[in-house]
Amino acid sequence: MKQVIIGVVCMIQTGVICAQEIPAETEQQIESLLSQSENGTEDDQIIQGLEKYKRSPLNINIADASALRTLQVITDLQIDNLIAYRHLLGMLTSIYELQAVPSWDLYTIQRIRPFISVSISLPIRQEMESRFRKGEHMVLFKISQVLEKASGYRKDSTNAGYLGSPQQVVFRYRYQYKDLLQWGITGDKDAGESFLKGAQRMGFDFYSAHLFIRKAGPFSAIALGDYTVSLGQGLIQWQGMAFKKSAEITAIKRQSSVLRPYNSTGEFYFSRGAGFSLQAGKYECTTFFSFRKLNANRTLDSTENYSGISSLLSSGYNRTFREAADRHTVSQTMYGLAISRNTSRLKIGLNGIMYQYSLPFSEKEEPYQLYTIRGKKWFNASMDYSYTFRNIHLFGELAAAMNRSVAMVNGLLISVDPKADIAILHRRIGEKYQAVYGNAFTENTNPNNENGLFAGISLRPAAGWKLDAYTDLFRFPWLKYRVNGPSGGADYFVQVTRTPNKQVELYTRFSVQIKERNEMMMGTSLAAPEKIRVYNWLMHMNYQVNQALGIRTRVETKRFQKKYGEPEHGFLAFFDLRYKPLMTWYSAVIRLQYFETESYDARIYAYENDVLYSYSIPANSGRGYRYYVLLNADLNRSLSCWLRFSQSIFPEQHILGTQLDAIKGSNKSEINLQFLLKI
Amino acid sequence: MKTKLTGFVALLCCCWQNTPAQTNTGSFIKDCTTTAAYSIHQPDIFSLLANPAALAQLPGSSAGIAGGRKFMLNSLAEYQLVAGMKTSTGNFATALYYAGGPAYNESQIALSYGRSLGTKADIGLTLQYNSVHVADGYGNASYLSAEAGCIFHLTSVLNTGISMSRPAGSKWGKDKSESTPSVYTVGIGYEVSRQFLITVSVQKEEKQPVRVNASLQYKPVPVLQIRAGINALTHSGWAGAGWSRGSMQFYVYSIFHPQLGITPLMALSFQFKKKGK
Repeated sequence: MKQVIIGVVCMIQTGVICAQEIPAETEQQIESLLSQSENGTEDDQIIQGLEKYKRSPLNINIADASALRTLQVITDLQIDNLIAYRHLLGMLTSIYELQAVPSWDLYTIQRIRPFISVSISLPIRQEMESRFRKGEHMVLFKISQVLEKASGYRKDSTNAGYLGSPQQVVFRYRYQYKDLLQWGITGDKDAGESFLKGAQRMGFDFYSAHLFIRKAGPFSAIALGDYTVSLGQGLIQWQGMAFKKSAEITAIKRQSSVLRPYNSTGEFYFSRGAGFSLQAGKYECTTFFSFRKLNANRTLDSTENYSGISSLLSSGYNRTFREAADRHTVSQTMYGLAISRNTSRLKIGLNGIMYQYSLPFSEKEEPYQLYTIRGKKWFNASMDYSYTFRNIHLFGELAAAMNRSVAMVNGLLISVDPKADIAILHRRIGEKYQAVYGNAFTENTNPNNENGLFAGISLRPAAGWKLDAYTDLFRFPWLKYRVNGPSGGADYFVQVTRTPNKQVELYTRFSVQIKERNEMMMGTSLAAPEKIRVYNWLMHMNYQVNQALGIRTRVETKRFQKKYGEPEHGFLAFFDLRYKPLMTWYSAVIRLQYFETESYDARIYAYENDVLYSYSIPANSGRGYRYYVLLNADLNRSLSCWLRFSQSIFPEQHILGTQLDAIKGSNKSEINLQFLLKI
Repeated sequence: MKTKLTGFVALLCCCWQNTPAQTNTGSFIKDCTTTAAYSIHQPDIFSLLANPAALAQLPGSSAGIAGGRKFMLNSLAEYQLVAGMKTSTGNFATALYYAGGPAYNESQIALSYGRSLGTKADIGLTLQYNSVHVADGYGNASYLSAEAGCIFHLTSVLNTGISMSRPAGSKWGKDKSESTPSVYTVGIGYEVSRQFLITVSVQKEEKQPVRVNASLQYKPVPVLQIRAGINALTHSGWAGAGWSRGSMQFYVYSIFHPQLGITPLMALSFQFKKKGK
């Protein structure tokens, strides 16, 4: 029977997905995340992780749950079922045997296939030796620049402009052996920051170094230097990148190891110090300590001394005198403990985390900020759980904060049939609840002031057809930024994906988002929350014409409807050509794009390919054209380089951007050059 | 009074088309006769009006003529003549277009070329010479424009394509102060069977709302073909029936607009037989 299954599944088609650098679904998730949060991110951990597994696939015969979670492609239900299958029937003989694992379907196997392998594990002693000898050294150097001179780079008598040059420079060295040993150093200079002078006398504005070991004696993980801490369902702490609502309906559960190495260029969402995970049988205990200097806006008291923190700055920009004055002005000490009991079906964990700052958080003036963190200390604790029963996976987290507020998230994943998955998630997060690094599955960016219910279904009714749909209903019991009162809303989403053969993937998506936002009341100067509705329709196609040439095209429209006034419309269409002949040393991607939006509210985001480990998702607004050319050359077996040129053209605008980023003219061009050496 | 009424209706027509009067992107002939553009098995000579790459699938040398009066008004008449020739190096076609009346009219002469790039993709290009005539002082103005397109045959029954018309815009007029906007079109056709075809196209003209056209084409018996469609932007629908005899096809269409009424349209096409057959 096993052979029959293997034989059948050998015909699995991998075409469209393998042709891309990262899975199309992950692109969609990143795109959805950025369009919801409206904030850019420099966190490339997920892409780094997938690229790592593409080069050195994860051996699913020995990978534990923690390692499988780092793939971020499969659900915990599938992970639990795989581990149970291994316990029952032993090691898998072929990757195609995965279809025999409950809740694993062709679609999942297609997605995960480039990143996993099936092999016999080496003895642990040999593994330890291999860690230091058989790993890979990687050196990356990237430089990018906007070619048009922004007003911030024009020297004037006020010295209010950028202090440094317009280039962004990234340097990264990393040694890695599978997911067992990793160390490295990263340096980052953002555009406008100085180098070897001013506030950056040590060269780069941001340095990061780390040493990370997995499975060393009783330690399941040792993290020294920079690392991330992710606990439970993100109610109290989640420093890694985590997706929210997207077409991946079942990706509602936060899943990651507690400790993970950090070598991104983002300067805020990580810990610096040491962390240890100790495993003894079914128990795992993780403790961590971090001390960092953070950038912060501070408040002055009557004696002109800094008396408090008005806000922590997460952008990491230190480009002007004003920004440099806020650099590393507040110290943060963080320590915590996480204890969990893991069996093949049940996991229960207790987590606690404490923060101390050199200055207290100041009281805020705005009513919506009434419940923000105050004082020098903050504490969060939580209990998280997950349980798998047959085809049902339950999970959740109950959390409390120092101000005696509580929050909880509970979710359910059911693989009701090989052709259908259901995902439900309920959250109830009090308006007083706060967490410094919280990042749960919520509508808000941070987990606070929100009650909601998400319900989604993923159907695969016939070969080549997939339907994903969800609805999310939410309420915000307290005021929010730009919402002067309790408010609520809903999201409705449906996407139909058609994959008629291994070369073609088509999908169309329709979504409606209803939220409230302040609008001026008729005849008064008062602003009150009014409903806004955003309708979005998208058609997308990936087509692998032959082994060398692929095309991708998309048409997207948006309608932004306020209660008063005319609706605002947005339109975007692009056409990509991707050329990568088999067994050749070069490849190219070209995009031509047209967009037209009537306002910034009607802006449309579109994922763009970039140099390796990077991506770009610009917010397209106004009327204009955009194109980019991305060239990649593998100069030899060790050295690769990428060159990307992109340009946006706005025929009707003569000044682009605002303030220090203002550019005279109608064009904005950017060039990226990256070299990667692997030994 | 009649002149005023005609002017008013012409204004409404511009709103209906959502295009400036001097462009033929809102041509009702094009809306009705190009349902087979994204099809392998049912192409005809009019398909190239929707996407020049459709010319590549022309089964043989063909010619067609179509004409109608928008909302039954003489001053809003529209005529189209198309002729295509199949060659071993690709297919060539020429098209003549005329719309309007003595007071205002626009015309176009176009040359098209389309060819297949293997079995998976077709490309096409149309070069157009456009002229506009306005009586009472303005006189004539002309400009050149181009349209490029490609169609991908995703499967034997699923085809999609894009086309760009005047991607850089076209300036014209006495002092080049007038312009014809760029138009971007994406279409997809699904041939449920040899008898039944569904087509959806999305068209974006600069500074105008998105037009979504959906149409179907059904051949219940070999001699009869039914076509129907809707325009989601204007909420107008159309339907037509075609009769085939030998290599000749004759169609009658009617477009219905809820406020402006009926637009009748007729089309005749002829496919020349290959020598030796």
